[in-house]
Amino acid sequence: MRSVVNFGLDQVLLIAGGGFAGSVLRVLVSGMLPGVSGTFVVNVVGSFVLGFFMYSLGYGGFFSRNARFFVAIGFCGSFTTFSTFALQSAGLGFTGFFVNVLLNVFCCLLAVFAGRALSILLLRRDTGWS
Amino acid sequence: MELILLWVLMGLGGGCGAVLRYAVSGFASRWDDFPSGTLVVNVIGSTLLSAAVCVQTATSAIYFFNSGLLGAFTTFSTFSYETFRLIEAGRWLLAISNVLLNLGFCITGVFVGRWFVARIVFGL
Repeated sequence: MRSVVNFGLDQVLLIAGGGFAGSVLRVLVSGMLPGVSGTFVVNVVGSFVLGFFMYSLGYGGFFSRNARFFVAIGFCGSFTTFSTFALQSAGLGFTGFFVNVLLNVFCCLLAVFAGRALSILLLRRDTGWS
Repeated sequence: MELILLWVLMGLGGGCGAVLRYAVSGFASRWDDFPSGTLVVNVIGSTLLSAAVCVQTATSAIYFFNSGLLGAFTTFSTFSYETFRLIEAGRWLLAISNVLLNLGFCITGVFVGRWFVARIVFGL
């Protein structure tokens, strides 16, 4: 088991700030949509943003190290949710359960892929990187 | 309570949840290449949320704890990102295990949380 905890006050405040914004936006967005579709939409959007951000960070180093604490760990982590997803899925019945689970997992993986594609596209356009 | 205050409470809960997630998931971040940290927070968060929604409580507590703290404590984006990285690296067995373990343990957690409140707390 490997542990990675980097607990400076800066990091804590950045994560908390991102978490504040992410949670409020999650409830705003998911509250506007009916049933389980709200959770689905925030999960897909959050996965796309995280995919774009992490790959941009990895490939180009566009963002500062501290941006990772605010955007990735704070905002994207809090904007998306597994607890509500699990609770809602468990209440859907047999078919609904499998449809909801497959849609969330598949579309969120696809969203990470799309975020990665966008980060590559922008890097190529801006820097001629290939 | 004023609606705006409830939203601020929810945001504060989300801030606490995010920091707690970082602390807890960072503590057991990787087991070889398996992203165990995210699995741990998702299972704990799903179990606690399922127990929390069974308890009748003040609206302010629901905003802070259920929507804010527990919603932010668990994460789907990191789960899908880590799964994607495993697929990208050709570690299909780990990727599929990650999806199945998260789903299996979190759904089990939902039933355990519900059972715990009904049986242990209310003695039904």
